[in-house]
Amino acid sequence: MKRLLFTVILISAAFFSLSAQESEGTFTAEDVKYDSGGSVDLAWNLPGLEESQTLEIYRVFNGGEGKIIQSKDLSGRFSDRNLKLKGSYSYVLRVVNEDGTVAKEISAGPVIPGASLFSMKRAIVLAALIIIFYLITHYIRASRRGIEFPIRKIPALESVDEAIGRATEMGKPILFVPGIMDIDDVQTVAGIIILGEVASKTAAYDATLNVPVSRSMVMSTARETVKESYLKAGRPDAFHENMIHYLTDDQFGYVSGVDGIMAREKPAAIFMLGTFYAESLILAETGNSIGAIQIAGTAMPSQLPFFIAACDYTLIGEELYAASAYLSRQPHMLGALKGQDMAKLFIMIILIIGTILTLLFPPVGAWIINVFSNIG
Amino acid sequence: MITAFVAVIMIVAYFVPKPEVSVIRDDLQQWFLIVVTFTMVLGLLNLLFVSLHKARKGRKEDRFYNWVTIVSLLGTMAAGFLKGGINSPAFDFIFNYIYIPLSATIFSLLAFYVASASFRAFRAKSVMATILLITAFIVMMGRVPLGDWVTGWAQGTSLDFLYLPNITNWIMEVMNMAGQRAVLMGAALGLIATGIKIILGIERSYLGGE
Amino acid sequence: MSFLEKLDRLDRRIIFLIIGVAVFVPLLFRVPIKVVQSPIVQDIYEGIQALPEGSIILLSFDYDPSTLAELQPMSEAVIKHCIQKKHKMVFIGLWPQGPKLAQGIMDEMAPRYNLQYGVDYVNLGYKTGGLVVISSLGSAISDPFPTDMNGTPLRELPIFNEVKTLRDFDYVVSMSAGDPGIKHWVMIAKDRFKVPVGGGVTAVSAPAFYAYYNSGQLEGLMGGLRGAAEYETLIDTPGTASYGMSAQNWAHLMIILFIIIGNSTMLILKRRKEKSRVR
Repeated sequence: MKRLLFTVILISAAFFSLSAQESEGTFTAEDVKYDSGGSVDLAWNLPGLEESQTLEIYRVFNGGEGKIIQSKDLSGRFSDRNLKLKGSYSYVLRVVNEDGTVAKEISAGPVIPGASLFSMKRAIVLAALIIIFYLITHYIRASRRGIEFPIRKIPALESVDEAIGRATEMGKPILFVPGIMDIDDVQTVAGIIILGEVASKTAAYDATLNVPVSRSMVMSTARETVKESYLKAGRPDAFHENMIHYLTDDQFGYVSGVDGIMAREKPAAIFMLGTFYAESLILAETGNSIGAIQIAGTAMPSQLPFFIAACDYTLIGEELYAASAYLSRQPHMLGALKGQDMAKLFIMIILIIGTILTLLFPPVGAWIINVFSNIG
Repeated sequence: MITAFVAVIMIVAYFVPKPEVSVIRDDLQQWFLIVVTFTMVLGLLNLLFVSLHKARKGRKEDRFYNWVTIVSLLGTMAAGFLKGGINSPAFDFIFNYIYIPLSATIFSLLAFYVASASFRAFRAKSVMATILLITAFIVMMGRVPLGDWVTGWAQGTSLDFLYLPNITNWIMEVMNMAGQRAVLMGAALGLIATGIKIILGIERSYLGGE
Repeated sequence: MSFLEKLDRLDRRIIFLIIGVAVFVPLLFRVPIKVVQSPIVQDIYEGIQALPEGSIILLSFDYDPSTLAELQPMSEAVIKHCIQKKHKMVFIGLWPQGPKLAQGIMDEMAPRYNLQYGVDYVNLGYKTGGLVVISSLGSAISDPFPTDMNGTPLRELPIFNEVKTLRDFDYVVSMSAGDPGIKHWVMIAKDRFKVPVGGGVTAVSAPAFYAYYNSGQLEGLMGGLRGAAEYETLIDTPGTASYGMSAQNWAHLMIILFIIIGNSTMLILKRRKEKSRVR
C-alpha cells in the first residue's frame, strides 16, 4: 500500500513538473548540423509570457555574458553565428518584467559549435555522383576492351564537313563563335573541343578560320587548341595567332563586333557553339541574311528555339557535349557517351519511381521532397 | 593532373564543411578571379594590336571601323583616368549618352529579328510545325491585352478554359516547363559527364592535347 | 516573280519597317494599358505586400544597360512598391553597371519621396564573384561589402543596425539579365538561407524559370515588359511598362499578321504547284 502511494505521488510529481515545465516554457541550444562550425541554433517556446514582459537571451562564454537578443515573441528561433570552434557556450534566457526585475530564468547548454566532417544532407548528391561516375567509367573500360558502341547520326555534326567544304569552294572564311561565357563554363569547353576538330579540317582544306572571342582566357585556350590542330594536320605555317582575337567582354558589344564581321567578310559557314543569351537570335538572323550555312549548339533551353528557327542545323543540349565523341570516334569517348546515356536512364527510372511513390504514398513523397529541399 | 587535383578539392569542399577545406576552396576561387582580371589586360592589348594592324594594313572597307574601335577604346580609358575616375563627368557622359543608348539599341534589334524569324520559320510545313505555329499564336495573343479583349467574355464563366491568358499560363507553366526541365536535366548530365572526362584526363583537346 | 511569290519571300527590310512603325506610333501617343495579372507576378507582389512595414528588402541589380528597356521598369515598380509600404531597401549588383542603374532610379525617387540615404535605402555597389558574393553575404554583409558604393563603412549606416547577414533580410528581389543572377540567388539565398526570393528577368529568359516557381524555390517572377506592366497595374501606378504595352500589343499583332500572310501564301503557292503538276 505504501509502495502504491509512493508510486502515485512520484508519477503525479513527474506529471506536474512536466506540466510546470510546459507552462514554464522550453529553451534549447543545439549545434547547427552539417555546417562549417561556429553556429548554434537557439529555440524557445514560452506560452506563459505576458504582454508586458520581454525575453532576453544572453550568451555565456569564458565566464562572461553578453545579451544577444531581445524579443517579445512567445516562440522563436535564432542562429548565433561566428562563434569560436571548440569553444563551450551556454545560454541563459531571462523573462524580464516592465520594472526590470527578472521573472524567470532558463538555461541551455553547454554547446560546442563544431564543424561536421561530412554534410549528411548532401549524401544523396554524393550517392548520385558515385553512381554516375561508376557508369561512365564502366563503359569507358568496356570500350577499351574492344566493345563497340554505336552512335546515332547527329545531322548537325554530319554537316560540319559539308559546311567547311562549301566555304573552301567559295573561297570565303569560316566563322566560329564559342559563346560569350568564360572558360569555366563547360559549354565553352565543349565549344572549344569542337573548334579543335573544325580547325583540323580548315587546316587540311586550307580554308580561312576566324574566331572572335568574348573572354581573354577563352582566347588563350582557343589559340592553343587551334595551333595544336594545325600542327597535327601538318600545316603549322597556315596558323597565325590573330585567327583567334578578342573583341570585348560586353555582351552586346561582342554581338555588334561579330555582326560586323559577318556583314563585311560574309563567311560561308558559321559555327555558334557554346553559351549564348539574348544575342543568339541577333547572331543567327544576321548569319541567315548573308546566306551562310549555320551550325549552332547550346545547352541554354531559352536560346534553343531561336537557333532552331534561324540556323540550318542545331545541336540541342547534350548533343553539344557529345560532339567531341562523335567527331573523334575514339572508343573511350564513345564509351563515356554510353555511360552518360545509362546515367540518364537511371535518373529517368528514379523520377518515375519517385512520382509513383508521391502519388500513392504522399508522406513518402513529402519526405523525398524534404530530402532534396534540404541539400542547400 | 592540376585540373584533376583542383577539381577533387572543389568536390570535397562541397561535401566536407570543415573550415580548413573551405579556406582552400575560397582561395582557389579568388585565384581564378585574379587570373581572369589579369587576362583582361591580355585581351585589351590583343584588341588594340589587332585593330591597329587592320586599321593600317587591313581591307579598305574595314579600316574605318578599326579606327573607331581604337579611338573609342583609348578615349573611354582616358575619361576613366581623369579626376573623379569612373565617376568623372566625362566618363558619366560616355556611359549615359553613348554606352547605354548603344547597348539598348543592339538589344532592341531582337524585336525586328523575332518578326523576320517568325515570318520565315513559322510555316505549317509538317504536323509538328503546325502545332508549334498554333502554340506560338496562342501564347502571343495571350501575352498582350489583345487576348483579353478577344476572349474576355469567357473569363469567369463555364468556358473559362477558352480565356486566352489562362491558356497561355497553362502552356507556360505545364508544357513549356516540362520541356525546359527535360532539356535542363539532359544538359546537366552532359555537363557532369564532360566534367568527369576532363577530371579523368580523357578529354584533353581544350588544352591542345588529343 | 508573281505578287504572291514576292509576298512569300518578303524582304526582311519591309518587315523591319512595319514593326518599327507599329512600335513607334503607339509610343508617341503614350496610352497606358492595364493588363490582366498572372499568378506568377501576383505572388511576388503579395510577398512584398504581406511584409510588415519597415521590412528590409535586398534588391540585386543583375543587368546592364542593354536590357534596360525590360528590366528598369520592373525595378522602378518594385522600388515604388517598397516605398509605398515603407520598406527599407539595400541595393547591390552582381553585374558591374547594375548599382549605377539603381543609383539613377534613386536619384529621381529619393527627393520625390523624401527618402534618406542610410536610413531608408543604401547602395552597396558591385562586387565580382556572383555565387561567391552571395555565399559571403550569408556569413556577414560586411565580408564582401565592407563599405557602401561611396566608401562609407557599414557601421555608419543605420540600416545595418538591423541587418548583419543575408538571413536578416525579409525578401530578396533580383532583376536579372543572365549569369550571375536570379538562379544563384535561388540556390543560395532561398535553398541555403531560406530567405524568400522573387525577381524579374527578360521575356526571353522567363520560360526557363517556371520550373523554379513551380517547385516553390522562386516566390514569383516578372517576365519582360509584360511582367513589369502587370506589377505597375498591381501597385496602381502606370509607368514605362504600361505605356510600352500598347507598342507590344501592336508589334505582336503585326507578327501574327506576318505569320498568317506567310502561311497563306505558302499554302496557295503549294496548291498552284500541285495543280500545274496534275495538268
